[in-house]
Order: sequence, then C-alpha cells, then structure tokens
Amino acid sequence: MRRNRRLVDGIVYAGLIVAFVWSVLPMYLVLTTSVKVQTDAFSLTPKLLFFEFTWEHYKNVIGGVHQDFLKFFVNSIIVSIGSVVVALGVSIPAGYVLARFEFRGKRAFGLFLLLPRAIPPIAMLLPFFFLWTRLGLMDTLQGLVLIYVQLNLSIGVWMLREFIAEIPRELEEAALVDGCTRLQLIWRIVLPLAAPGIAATAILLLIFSWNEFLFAFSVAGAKARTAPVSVFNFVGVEEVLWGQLHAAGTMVVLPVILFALLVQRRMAAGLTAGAVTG
Amino acid sequence: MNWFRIRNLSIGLGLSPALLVLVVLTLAPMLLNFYLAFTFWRGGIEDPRWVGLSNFNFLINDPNFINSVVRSASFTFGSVFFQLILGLVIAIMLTRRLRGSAFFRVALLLPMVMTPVVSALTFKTLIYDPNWGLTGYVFDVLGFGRIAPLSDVNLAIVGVILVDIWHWTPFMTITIFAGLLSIPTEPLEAAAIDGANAWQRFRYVVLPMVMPVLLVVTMLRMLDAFRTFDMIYVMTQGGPGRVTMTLPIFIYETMFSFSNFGGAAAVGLAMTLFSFVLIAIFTKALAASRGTAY
Repeated sequence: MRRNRRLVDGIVYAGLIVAFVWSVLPMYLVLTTSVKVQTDAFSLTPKLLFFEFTWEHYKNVIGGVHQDFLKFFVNSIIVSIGSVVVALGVSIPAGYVLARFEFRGKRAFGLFLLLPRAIPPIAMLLPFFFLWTRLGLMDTLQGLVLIYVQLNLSIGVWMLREFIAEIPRELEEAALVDGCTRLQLIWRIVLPLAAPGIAATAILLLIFSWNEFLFAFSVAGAKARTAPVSVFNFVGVEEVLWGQLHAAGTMVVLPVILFALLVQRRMAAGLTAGAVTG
Repeated sequence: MNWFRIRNLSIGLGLSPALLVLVVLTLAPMLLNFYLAFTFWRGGIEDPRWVGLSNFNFLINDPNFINSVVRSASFTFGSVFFQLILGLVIAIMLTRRLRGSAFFRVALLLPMVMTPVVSALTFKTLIYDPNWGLTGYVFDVLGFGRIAPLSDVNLAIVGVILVDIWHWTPFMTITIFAGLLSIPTEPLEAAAIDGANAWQRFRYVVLPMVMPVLLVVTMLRMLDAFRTFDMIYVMTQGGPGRVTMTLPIFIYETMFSFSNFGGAAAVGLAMTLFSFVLIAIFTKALAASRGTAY
C-alpha cells in the first residue's frame, strides 16, 4: 500500500513537471529571444541556453526606432485604467443592490447582465464601427474605453455581487440603527470591507482590457493604438524584427503576469462569475 | 411606507448606471447589428440601404461561409475537447497533497494571462518557423524535414488549435480545481470503505459531483473558442487557402477586404444565434446534471 502510494506520487510529479515545462517553455523562449543578438536568434540549431546577451532590442523598442511603442504602451495604460475605473463605478452599486435586495425583475436583470458576455465581440464590431464613425469616436481613447466598459460589465457586477454578499449583513444593520444613511453605510462599511474583492475584480478586468486585441486593432489607428497591436506591427516591417518583437512582447506580458500573481487565488471565482449562479 | 420608498430609490439608483451601459452600449449595438444584417452597406458614412433577406440568401449559397462554419466547428470542438481532458487531469493531479503543488498551481495558470497576441506571435516565430523555430529543428532531427505547420494546409488547423490548447488549458485547470476542492470528502471516504477502487470513486462519486462545474466551464470555453479572433488572425489570417478561416476571420475579411458590411452583419447575427443556442443547450444539460447529482 505504501509503495503504491509513492508510485502514484511519482507519476503525479512527473505529470506536473511535463505540464510545467510545456507551460513555461514558450515564455522562456520569448524572454531569451528579447535579449539575444539577432544572429543567435536566427540559428538553425536553436540556442536555448548559450547565446550572446544584448539589451539592444529593448533600447530600440523604447527609443522608438521602428514605431512609437512607448506612446502605445501609455495608451494601453490609460485605456485599461480608464475602463476599469468606469466599470467599477458602474458595477459596485449594481453589485451591492443585487447582493442586498430582493425585488421584482431581479432575475430578468441578472440575465440581461449576461448579454454582453453572450454576444461574440466580432458581432459587436460592426455596430460600433457604424456608431463610432458617426460620433467621432474612431481612433480615440474614449472610444476604446466605452467598448471595454461594455465588455467588462458582466464579470464586474457578478464578481462584486459575490464579494459584497460575503460581508455579514449584521454589520450594516447595526450601522443603520446607529443612524447611518445608506450612502454613508456604503462608503464607511461596505467599501472598506469589500476592498480585497474590489481589488481582485479591478485587477482581473485590468488584465482583460490590457490583452484586448480585436477592437484595439479595428477601431483605433495611429493615435489610439494600444501596445498589443503595436507588438503585432513589428511583424509587418520588411525585415522580421524578432528581437524587438519579443522585447516588446515581454514588456506587454510582464505587467499582466505580475498582476495575475496577485489575484491568482480569486481568479477561478472571477472567471466563472455569473455563469454558476445565473 | 417611507422605508419602502427609500428602498426602491436605492435599488433604482444602484442599478441605473449599469442599466444605462447595458442599453446604450450592448442592447442598442446588438439591435443595430440586427438591422444592418438586412441592408446593403459598404461602410463609412454612407447610409445603409434596406435589402431584405438578400444577405442571408447570398450567405447560404456561399461556399466560403459554409467552409467557415465547418472550420469554426472544428476549431471550437478540437480546442475545447483537449482543454477539458487536460484541464481535468492536471486539476486532479493538483489536488494530491504533494510538496510543491502550490508552486505548480500558480506556474501552470500563467499561459492564460499572457496577452493572446503575444502567445500567437511566440508560436508563429519561435516555435513554428521552419528555419529558426523549435518544431522545425526537432522534426528535422527526427528525419521528417523542416516542417512549416502554419503554411501547410493539413497542419495549419492543428497548429492553431495547439496554441489555443496551450493558452487556455489553464482556464480549465483552475476552474475545475476550484470545483474539485468544493466537493465534500465524506462520500469519497464512504465509497473507499465500501471497497470502491480509485477509478470507481472517480467515475461514480467525483464525476457526478463536478459535472455542473465541467458543464459551465465547457460552455464558457466553447463560447470563447467560437469567437476567437486575435490568435488565429495573428498567426494565419485565415490561410493557407481558407483552412483556418473561422467565422470571426470571415467576418473581418467580409468587412475590410470586400467592404460588404451588410453581409458581415448577417454573419455576426448568425454567430450570435449560434452562441444563444449553445447557451440554451448547456443550460438544459446543467439543470439535468444538478437534478441527478446526488
């Protein structure tokens, strides 16, 4: 029995190590290619461990030799943070109401809330194209922010609803008895207690906005372009700029990975928010 | 009475911003797309012209549309099937109490937070490139020559599916893992005492209890695989030929290469309907699995 157990442990370890190598290898390749001299990147026998090191690609990317990457990176920061702030502003009150009140039409509202998640974004591209050309929102940061708010709303409200529902109701009732108004109550009790949940929600939505490609690629041009689109544009240039491509790729991915490490515990709940209860 | 008024006011105030976003930024564009599907429109500021069902008539006779439906189906089922199996196996491995399993749990979720465009470009250049990529080298050493998966009509769909599997298996892993953790342990212990072996415990105790979770994550993943644009577009733009031209790429091509925005709206409407049907099927299955779980 004991030997049997150790055998299974061994098999599980082996399986996990295979999965680990498979998961991490592409990331390792990106990271190393971003600091590898071009001649070592273009080697018929891949130079995985031993290669000549250089910071040149990062210097070129940041220096804007082929495109204004830094500007697009800043665009990404503005659009992501902007869309998350607006989405939270809309989602927190809605999440609070759904967590605390029973009312007629609640179920209908919950289903309506899943609509942005049910429609394929590609089917929304066309109407946004139609509207944004007429409203002057093409190639603007505001235009992207509005679209991302729409994309993030479902997950935002459902996640916050669950986090707020976890706060004991008695705390709020006690505050109400003490003469707190509903608004003070939310400001002084609900928000501070839900802060970890709000932070987790914000970070998850930040990752979604940061990674978005379809709309950034289609409704934003040279002015409002975001970093992921800019990374893709390193492919378009006459010569293939592998070093710069992967230096830029690393710069886009690194912040997301750091953020993901912060919220990894709550990620599972966020990814299925609404689908399980709704 | 006063309390009742305040309560309704709070509900109204709390929901109205979300309601505004839903109506203005989701419902209205959706209905607009519905309308545009019945028009002839070449994009830009020209006005769409009503043409009735002709976009749909054109579509069902267009072999390229049928081709894309088939490609989308194979991409969606191919990706999600392997993600489900791999995700379930890895999640079960993670539940075993081992030293270092916390490390694996975090490390194995990283691919899914990579920016999809970066994942796709990484595979396209550093792995699939026939001369400088990993598969080119490995297959050359094995004697198959320097294969170029993304420009081969037979391999391209496999290559694209593989990237999707790499990127999204973690989604299955962490959600199924969370589902496994929430299973009560008593039925498992009872089954073990009754002499059930590992497979029987999995098949008759664990599986029925995680079935609702499996159904939910399979649905979410299928909806997302069905709408995948970024990864496929970045790697192949639908080629070679049209073998990776899934519906989203087809819509994009119809819009920007052929300026047939009305036709693109019709395909978008079809995709929306497919998605709703998928949700309806899974909702039914979910209700059934919850009914028989215990």
